[in-house]
Amino acid sequence: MRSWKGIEILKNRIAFIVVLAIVIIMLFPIIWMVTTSFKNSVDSMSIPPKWFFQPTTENYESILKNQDFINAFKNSLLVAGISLAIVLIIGLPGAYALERFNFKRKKDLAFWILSTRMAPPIGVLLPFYLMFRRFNLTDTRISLILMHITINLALTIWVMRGFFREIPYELEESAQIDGCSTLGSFFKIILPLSINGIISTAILGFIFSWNDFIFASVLAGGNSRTLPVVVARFIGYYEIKWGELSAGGVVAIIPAIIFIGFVQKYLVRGLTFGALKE
Amino acid sequence: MKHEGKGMIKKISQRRKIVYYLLLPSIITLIIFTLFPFFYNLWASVQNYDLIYPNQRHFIGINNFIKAITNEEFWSTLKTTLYFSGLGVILQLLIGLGVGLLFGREFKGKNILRTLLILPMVAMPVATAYIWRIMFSPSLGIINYILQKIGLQGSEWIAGYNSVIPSLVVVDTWQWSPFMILIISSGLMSLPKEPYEAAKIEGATGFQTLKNITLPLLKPILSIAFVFRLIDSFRTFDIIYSLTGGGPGHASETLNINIYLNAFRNLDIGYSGALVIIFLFIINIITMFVIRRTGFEESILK
Amino acid sequence: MKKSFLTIIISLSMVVLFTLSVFSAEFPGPDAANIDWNQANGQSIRVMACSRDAITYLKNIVPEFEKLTGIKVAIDDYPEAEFFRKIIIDLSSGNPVSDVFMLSHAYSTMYEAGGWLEPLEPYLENSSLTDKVWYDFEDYPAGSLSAVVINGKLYGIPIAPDTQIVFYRKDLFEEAGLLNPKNMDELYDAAVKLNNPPNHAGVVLRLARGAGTHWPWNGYIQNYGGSWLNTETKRPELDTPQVIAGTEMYLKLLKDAGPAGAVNYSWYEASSDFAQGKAAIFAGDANIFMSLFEDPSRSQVSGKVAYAVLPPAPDGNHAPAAGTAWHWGMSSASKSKEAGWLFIQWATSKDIALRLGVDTTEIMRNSIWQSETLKNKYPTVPDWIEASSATMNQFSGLYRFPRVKEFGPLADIVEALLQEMFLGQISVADGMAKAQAQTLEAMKME
Repeated sequence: MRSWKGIEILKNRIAFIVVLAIVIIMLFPIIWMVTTSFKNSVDSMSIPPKWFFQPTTENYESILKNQDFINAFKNSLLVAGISLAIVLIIGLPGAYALERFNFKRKKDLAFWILSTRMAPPIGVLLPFYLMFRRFNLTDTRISLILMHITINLALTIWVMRGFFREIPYELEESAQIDGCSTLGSFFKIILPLSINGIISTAILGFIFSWNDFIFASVLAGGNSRTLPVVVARFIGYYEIKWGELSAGGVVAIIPAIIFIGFVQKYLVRGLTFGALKE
Repeated sequence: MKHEGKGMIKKISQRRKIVYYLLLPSIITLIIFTLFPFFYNLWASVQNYDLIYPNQRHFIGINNFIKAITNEEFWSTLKTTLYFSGLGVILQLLIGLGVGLLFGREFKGKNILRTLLILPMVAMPVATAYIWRIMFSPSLGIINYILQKIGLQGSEWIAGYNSVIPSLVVVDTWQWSPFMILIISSGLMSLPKEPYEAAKIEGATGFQTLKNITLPLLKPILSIAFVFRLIDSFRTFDIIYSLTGGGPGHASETLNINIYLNAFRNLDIGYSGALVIIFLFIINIITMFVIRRTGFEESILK
Repeated sequence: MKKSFLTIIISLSMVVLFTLSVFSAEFPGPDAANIDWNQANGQSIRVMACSRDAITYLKNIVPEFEKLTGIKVAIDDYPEAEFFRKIIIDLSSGNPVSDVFMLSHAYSTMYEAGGWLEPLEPYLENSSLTDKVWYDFEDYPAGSLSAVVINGKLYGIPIAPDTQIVFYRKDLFEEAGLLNPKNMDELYDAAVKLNNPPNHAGVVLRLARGAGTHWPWNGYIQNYGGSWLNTETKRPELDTPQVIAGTEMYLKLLKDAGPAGAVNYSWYEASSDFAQGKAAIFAGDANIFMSLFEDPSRSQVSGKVAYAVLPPAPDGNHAPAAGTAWHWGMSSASKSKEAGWLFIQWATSKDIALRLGVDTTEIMRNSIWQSETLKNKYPTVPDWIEASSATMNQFSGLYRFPRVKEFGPLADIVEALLQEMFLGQISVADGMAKAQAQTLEAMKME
């Protein structure tokens, strides 16, 4: 028994080391971005890149003084936050209905929902612009919120179906025998048990909205620009402002890290359905 | 064990109405925002429609589709797309599964490491694409520099005719493996404990447990992650456009890039509309095939 | 004590006055114009622009215009690729949000064909809108207008140039005992001789697809007497010996003396390599890179660069380098055209053009090239002023880019094939024959 435990501990160590190695490799471009964001313009241009340099905060000062950047930051938070909230509010019940109920042409409906994500953004830019222009919604945050709801709904519904499916039927059944309504079991059993799925979906939805560049660059303008659109402007006509581009990239990551770090705490390990049943 | 709840579900389905209330908001939203663009493309695809001359637009039947399938360029962009997406998504699935399983073990700092691992997906592609472009430079880039330091031959990366797609797959995999890792590792965490305890008592090996318990239980989530990654990888634009613009020559011109060039460079809305329809057709077929193969739909109650 | 304080004040204000006079008194400002700047008071216009230094500068000083005229101006600028995407979607929507926008030389014919452009002559000639004496429109080099005069009508006013010149590393040339090349063969020999990897490449040039590579390449084929399209018949002439010779030189330079991975070089890789001392010759790109190369905080080569016009082909005397411009255009659907014109006139007037040009080196008007203010601001690079203005004046009337609405596809055909020829997938002669065939097809010609 003891040697078995020893092997487990060793395996855990190995897993840690492998994961750490992968993390380091994967983070290399990010580390590059972070170091560049602390370089002055000479060091950030230098070829080959310098790994030891006198750090400066001038890039951060410059972007934080840039009103466009501050506005874009607020816009991004608003657009990602609101669109994500709406997607979850309308998508979770939809996923539940598709997963737990039986009705005619359900498979077709599910597949149609999935297919709404298939259109190449570049091929639907023009009709979307015409549509929003018709209702005078171009250059508004509303147009972006609507767009991001659309692109994230299919993802939410389908990923959540997968997570809902992992929950055994008996749980709902016994709850309903105990007099719980359908909605009651949705809120009391399904949602709490699929918290891991909801968290992953929320993270993904947030990221897709936060990083959307193509729709934002065409549908937003003036006061509704989001972060990717503003950061892309550091790539100029005849100059790439590496320092500001990187600093903008780093600042843009921070809310995402906070959001992910925060929701990850709620990831639950190995749900014991048995306990719930009793 | 699987469908014990069948009787119950039947009872629920008698109260049909609630289904509509649950689904309607999503369906209405999607109808409003996806039908118009779809029909716009469908309509444009049968027109001779030059964006500059909207008044000279006229119906030409399926000519745009004939133009596409008789066009060498179309087939080569399709091949490029399949190469890029196929290679990338399979790699990402393997990495996602491997790392996801590693996260199944207990070690310190797991949450922090997982958050860090998601960063490539979080970082803005507009910024990271340029960082990759610099890193890939054959003469001055850091990647070849490191490879040569450890005694390996450098590559031409995105500057080579044959190496450009594998290089773009590296970037795509870097950016999107975290997607797989995130979904798979949280899927693994949600799995019930009981089957594992039973397996432990029966003395199953790690591989047996993986094959007989983990993978079957994880299948719904695995196939969804795979399908979404596949769809998104077909639509990849930012990375390819910023790194190569479709070059060298046409070596990295995917169907999606080709649609972009036809719509915004050639302003041929009719032809690009036809390509969008063909694109949707192809990705639909592939997705349906994958979903069938993984048995995702079939595992639902009939 | 008090007296010395007064002296300081006086001498300080003298300094201020002197500086002011150096900076802005060379040309009379908007107040001197004999028009009523207030005639569109209360209107507002939206301006869509491609992000470049000239626009950044204008955005900073546009409150001056708003104060002068009472017109509200919203300038939206986007990086080049996004700009092209956004403006074409907006203009073709039939109900564009933009009143005034930037017009690339390459796309003016296309926008005109769509009926999206407002002819500007009526505004220029209207004495209640324009003070022609003060504005001095003749100051613009004739060549800079040739891309925006279509069927005899003027559709754009130049705002920022793309003028092709060559950059040499003086120190490396001296070390090797070389003189500035007198023709392209000498440039090639110098590039090969100075090619010294991994320290520095002999030459850098653009070759990336979608990065405007057609632009410096066009300078090369013109230089060898070739032409993309026949200026009269609009028929492509890509398979002529002249075009092949120019293309061969372009690719030969990069093959024999270029950096590794040259195939993906855009203006960015090329200019930063040169700025970091990683290349001996930057063989033809935009003159405004001077401000990068001469800025010691961003460049290792400041003070070491010689500027020159693109040397001619060995056999003589052809149309020289590529010189093109960005213009202000006006949307034919705009509802505030007078306000839009007042903005264009103000933004391109001599006084503003001087301030903008001195600050950003984005210069269009001849008088700015000759201005003392400019010479005083850039005393160390007289050869840059000379090469830039010479190239600009040389291209007067010699605009040789395709003036057809299919410009976009034509440029892409050339750029993709240049890469294939460079990588040896196809020979230059066959490649240009293919370019000719594809171009004919794109233009629906036989």
